[in-house]
Amino acid sequence: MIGISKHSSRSRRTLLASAFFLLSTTGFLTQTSTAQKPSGPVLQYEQFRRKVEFRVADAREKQIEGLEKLLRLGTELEEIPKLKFRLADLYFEKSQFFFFRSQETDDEIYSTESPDEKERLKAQKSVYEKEAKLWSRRATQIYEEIREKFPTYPRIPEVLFALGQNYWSRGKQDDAIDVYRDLIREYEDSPLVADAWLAFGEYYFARGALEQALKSYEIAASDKRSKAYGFALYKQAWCYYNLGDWEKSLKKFQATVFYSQMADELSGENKISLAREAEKDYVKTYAHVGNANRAKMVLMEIANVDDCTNEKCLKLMEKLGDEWRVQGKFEDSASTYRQIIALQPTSFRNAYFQSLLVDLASRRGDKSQVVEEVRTLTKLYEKLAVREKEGALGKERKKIRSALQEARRDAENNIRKLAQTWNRESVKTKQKETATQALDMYGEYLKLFPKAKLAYELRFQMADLFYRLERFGEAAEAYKITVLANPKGKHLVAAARDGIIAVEEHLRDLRLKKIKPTKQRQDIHPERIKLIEACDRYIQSVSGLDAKDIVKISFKAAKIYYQHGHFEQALRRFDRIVSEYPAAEESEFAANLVIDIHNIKEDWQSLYESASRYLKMPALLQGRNKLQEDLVKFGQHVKFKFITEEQEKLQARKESLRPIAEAYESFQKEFPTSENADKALFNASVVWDSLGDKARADQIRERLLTGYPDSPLRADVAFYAASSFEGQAKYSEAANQFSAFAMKYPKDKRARDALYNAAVFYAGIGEVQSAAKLRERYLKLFGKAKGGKSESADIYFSIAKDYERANRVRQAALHYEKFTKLFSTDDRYFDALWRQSVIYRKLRVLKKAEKAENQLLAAYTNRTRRKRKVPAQAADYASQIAVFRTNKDFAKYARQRLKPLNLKRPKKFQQSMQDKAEKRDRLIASYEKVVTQYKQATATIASLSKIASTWDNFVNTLLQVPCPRSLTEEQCTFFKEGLQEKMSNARESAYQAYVTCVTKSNELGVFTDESRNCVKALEDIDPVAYPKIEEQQVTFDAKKQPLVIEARPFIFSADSNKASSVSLEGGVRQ
Amino acid sequence: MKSRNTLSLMVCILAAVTLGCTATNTSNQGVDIDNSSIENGAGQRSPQQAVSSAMQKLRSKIASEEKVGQVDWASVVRQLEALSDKYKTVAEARYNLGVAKERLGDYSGAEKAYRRTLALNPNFSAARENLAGVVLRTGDRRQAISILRELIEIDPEAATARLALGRSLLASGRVDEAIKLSQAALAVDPKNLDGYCILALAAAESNEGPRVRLLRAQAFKLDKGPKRACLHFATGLVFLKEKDKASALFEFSEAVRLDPQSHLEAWFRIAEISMEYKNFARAVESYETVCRMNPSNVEARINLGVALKGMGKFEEAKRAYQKALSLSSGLVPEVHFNLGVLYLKNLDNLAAAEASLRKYIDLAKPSQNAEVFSWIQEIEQRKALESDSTSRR
Repeated sequence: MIGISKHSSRSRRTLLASAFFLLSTTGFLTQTSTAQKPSGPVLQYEQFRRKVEFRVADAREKQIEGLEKLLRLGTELEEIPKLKFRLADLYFEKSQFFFFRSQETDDEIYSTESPDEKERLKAQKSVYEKEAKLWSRRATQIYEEIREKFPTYPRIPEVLFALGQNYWSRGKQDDAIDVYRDLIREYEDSPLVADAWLAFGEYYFARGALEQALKSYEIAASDKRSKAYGFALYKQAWCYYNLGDWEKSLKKFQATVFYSQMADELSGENKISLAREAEKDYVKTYAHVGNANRAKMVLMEIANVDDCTNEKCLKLMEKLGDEWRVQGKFEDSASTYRQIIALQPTSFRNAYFQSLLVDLASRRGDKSQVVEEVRTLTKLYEKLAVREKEGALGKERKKIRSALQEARRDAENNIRKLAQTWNRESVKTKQKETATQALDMYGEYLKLFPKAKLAYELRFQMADLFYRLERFGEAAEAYKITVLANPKGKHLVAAARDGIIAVEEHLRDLRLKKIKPTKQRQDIHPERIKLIEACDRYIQSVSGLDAKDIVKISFKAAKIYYQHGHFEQALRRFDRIVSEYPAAEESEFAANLVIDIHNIKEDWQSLYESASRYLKMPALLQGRNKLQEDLVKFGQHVKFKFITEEQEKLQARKESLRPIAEAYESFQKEFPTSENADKALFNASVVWDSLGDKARADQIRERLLTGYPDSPLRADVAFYAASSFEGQAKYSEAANQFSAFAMKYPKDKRARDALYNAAVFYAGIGEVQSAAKLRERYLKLFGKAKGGKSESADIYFSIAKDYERANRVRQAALHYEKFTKLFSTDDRYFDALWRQSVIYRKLRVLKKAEKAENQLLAAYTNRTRRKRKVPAQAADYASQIAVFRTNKDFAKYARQRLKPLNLKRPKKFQQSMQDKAEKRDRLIASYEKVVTQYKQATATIASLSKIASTWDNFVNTLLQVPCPRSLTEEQCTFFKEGLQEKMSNARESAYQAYVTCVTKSNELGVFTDESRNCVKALEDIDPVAYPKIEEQQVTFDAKKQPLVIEARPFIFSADSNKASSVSLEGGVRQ
Repeated sequence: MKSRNTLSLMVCILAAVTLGCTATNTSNQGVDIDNSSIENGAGQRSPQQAVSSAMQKLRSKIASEEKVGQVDWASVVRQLEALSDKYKTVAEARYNLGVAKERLGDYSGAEKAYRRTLALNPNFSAARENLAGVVLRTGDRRQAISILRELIEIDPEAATARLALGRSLLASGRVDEAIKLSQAALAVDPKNLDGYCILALAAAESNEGPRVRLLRAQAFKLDKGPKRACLHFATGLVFLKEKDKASALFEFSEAVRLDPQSHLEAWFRIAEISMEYKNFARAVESYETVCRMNPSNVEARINLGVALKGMGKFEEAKRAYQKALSLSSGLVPEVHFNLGVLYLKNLDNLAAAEASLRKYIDLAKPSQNAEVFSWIQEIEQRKALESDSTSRR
């Protein structure tokens, strides 16, 4: 098994994960340590002091020009401070104008990306700043000039206030305060005194002199008509706030709210913002002393509403919740948020509030609660998302999106942090529960924010966590998603690799049955398919992989395919390993398996191609002698196989085998030392033989015999040569070759057949002695082998028959006799006896003939009496013997002459005639008995012939009786005519017997000497019906017969230009 | 070089296989010529593929017509003419035209088609073999044999040609040559029973009974069909020589049973044995079969006359002899002899008898004439007597 080491990889992964985790959480840690800011109002003093009236620049410049001109030209004295005050105000305005322009330019500098433009703008800003300072200074100079030179000027308090304001703006608060002090001291009735006190309040507030500030604000607020009144109240609340006097602060804020709701003195904008800020700051203050349960009621009062479902009230509630949250009063905060959710259960923003609840729960450190809150959040979030997807339109859609975004803003951050923190914690504490809770967090996070920027990161962390918890299946799935999520992700390599390890671990846990490699394609377990997919992902996704890794992973997947019989996929992978990483350790296995697959598929062509290709790869073969040997072996083996298959195809298509013969020869040349080289030559010789090129076949066989002296095919060659002669019906040569084979290779299993065949062929060509000699040898060698007895009987009988056919009848008779002695139960026992009888009768060795006949008859009678099975021919032989025996009586009968007729003593003649007639009848009866008893064709024809002859003989014998001496010639003629007449019935009987004999002979297809006799007799007796053939019959003249060549049929495929019908018997052996 | 040679051989074999596969596919599918999916590299069918495709269609047509026993060969010829005109370079189209013309009985047309096929592809063995066949049918045996010899030279695998030539040589008594050709044919096509047949006939001719039996036994292992007939016949000849006429008759009968249309000589032999044993009816039947199979066979007509005469059917016998006369242009002496005997002994037509017998004397060898002369003498005497009696009246 090739794979990444489980232990090493696990520890490495843990380290990596920890390192990443620490890095990723750094931001979190730094963010938690944010610095405290001094408490202060959002509203600034500048909003509530005298405002500079801005004019259009041109108009201002014209006014400045006009005033300067007037002052240059000179005017009435009392007009001068008036004009100068006006001019100073314009300068101050101009100064403010440039100040604002410099601020704007600052924004532009920040926005632009062009360095040139930045430089230009910076220069511009510098100009604006200079201008602002210039005009401010000029304004100050004029204000001071008026104060100095025109102390009686009625608007001196305003000048002083302007001067103070100018100093304040230029950051010279101390100078400003001095001026304000003069104003308060010298012009105590001026309406600007309240504003001056307000400035004093601000001055002290800014310096933390809260008591002095409070006093200044209180004085500033002493005139309720003053425009500074609302702000002075507001600032008093802040002073109390900072002094920690929450109750007074609350009252002052409440008073500010009420004042701003009613006061006409305040401009619209300031009115709203003062009320709003005061409300907020009220809430902020309430957070320090308030009660969560009463909060709703209090805030309703502040908001001046009857129902807290009102937006304003809800906002204050939210603000309160936020304050409490910030202050760490998590219970109160959570309670407030829950109240908000309860007040408006269908609000889109509830997801946001729920996200805050998650945060609060986490701050409380209750992990279970966090998990619960997160789950609730997930439900709310999902509902919202569904609602958005399912048809929210227009504003609603916008709102939902906004709500989702809002909810996401903190929740994403919080849940992520929780997951990561807990994960980290679990690493440290090794608490499985914490790890599981972290997993829950990861899971919920990825459900809520699958497309979040850090989702990829979280997914990978979750995969690692799954792995750490040994939930390998889920880990594998998480790694898979991580890989697929970002093909360029920083965890791609780790996730792809760890995905493989996780699937492998999972497979181990599943304890699947071990795979037994099979040739049959079988289904791959889905989890194993996952491993293959993981391997593929690794190879495909990760670029610049280490070759070693690629090979190991590819091999892993390929092996699974191979073991399950999915050869195409396995082949592709193994071949890629070999082709692209030939030197890799696995390449040797892969090459072997490629060859193995081709072999299983019997795809010889591909096997040959692969083997040839691999053999040309030095990197693959270096130091792998066994592989090289195997490839050569496979290459040659498959080429050989390929040729044999092509041969079968060509044979099936009845096409010429010439290319096959050449291919075998070429094979032997290419692989002369191959184990198949001699076979190739052998097969080539067989094919050349079949093609009729005997010379080439012989030449090749000679090459085989000389080039491969140890080849076991030498025997095959010899046997094939003999068989080849047999196939060509060259029996003399075949007999010699088979005989030689049997002698040379007596232990070859074909020796027995060779010997047998040689004998058969010798017998067939008439070399009976040679045949008999071989047969006897055969009997000696194999007569006692299994099945030898029955075969021995065949052979004994064949020997006898061969002798008989070769007219060596004595030897034949002896062998028949031997046969009858050895094989008395064989069916041919009767044949052997009969052939002895026939031969001995021919040789006139009648005693031996009769002995054989007696034996035959006895056996026949015995068997028939015992109702045992008798071979069909036995009855024929027995019947013929019966005829022979009867023929002896016939001979005696034929020889019997009648006594001469003596008219005086006729008794002797009568007795001899009577005797002959009786013998005739007995003889006929005997022949008839043969016919009826045996019902055999040959014996029947013979009997019929003899019956006819018996009658004939009787007639002729009687007609040969000489006339009695006492008769005259005329009487003698009369006597002879009388005899003739008396014989007519006997003649008729003879005639009928002859006719029956001939008819039956033709009917039964028996043409023997007897039947021929019958024909001859009839030619004489009845030449009309049975005429002698005088005509000339003509024999068949083969030469004159037409030579017909059967036409070859249509050729339905025009792709083959060879139309010969060569068919070969499977002589080719491998 | 070795590996290059090997590779090129492999490529050659592979190419052959591919072509072969294509051919097999097309032959199995019966692809329509105009809608064939077979295309060459350029996206069009090659002429060979087009011809193959067309031949598939034609095969279906012929097969369906053969089922009802009515193949319209004229139509087949027309289609093949069009095909071979369209694809002039495809030898197979021209060859098939030759086969169709042969089936139609247009032997000269077939000969022309085969010759044009060979002009396109001189190695087209089937065309050369069929050319020899049609040349034989037109009666030019010598040319046919010459073509067969050419074929054997060109194509050492041409087993059928060797056997045809072997049979011809055997009939001419050139037994050894016939044997060599047959053995060579068997080397190429070891299951070809025609080879065994020629060898068995040659062995029977040489009175080698055991060899005939051996050949028969070997051949029978290879084939159970009608081709066995020849081996039965050869065995019959052996039995005849062994004077076992019953067995001979059985073997001859087996021969004609297995292949009733081919073995004229077996029918002859059956008839001869039947005549010997006075079974004239069977003899007549056998000779008549021969006459049906080969109407120009003079010998069968002559022997048929003898058998008919044996049955007492004199007029029919006369007609058989007369047919033999017309077939042989009166050049076969035996017909005149038999007619003479018939006229003399059965039809009592002395003049005709004398004329026939005199004709016989003219044609036959002098050694065979003694008996005939005595009959002529008898006729003359009888004619003289008749003349005397007529003049007395």
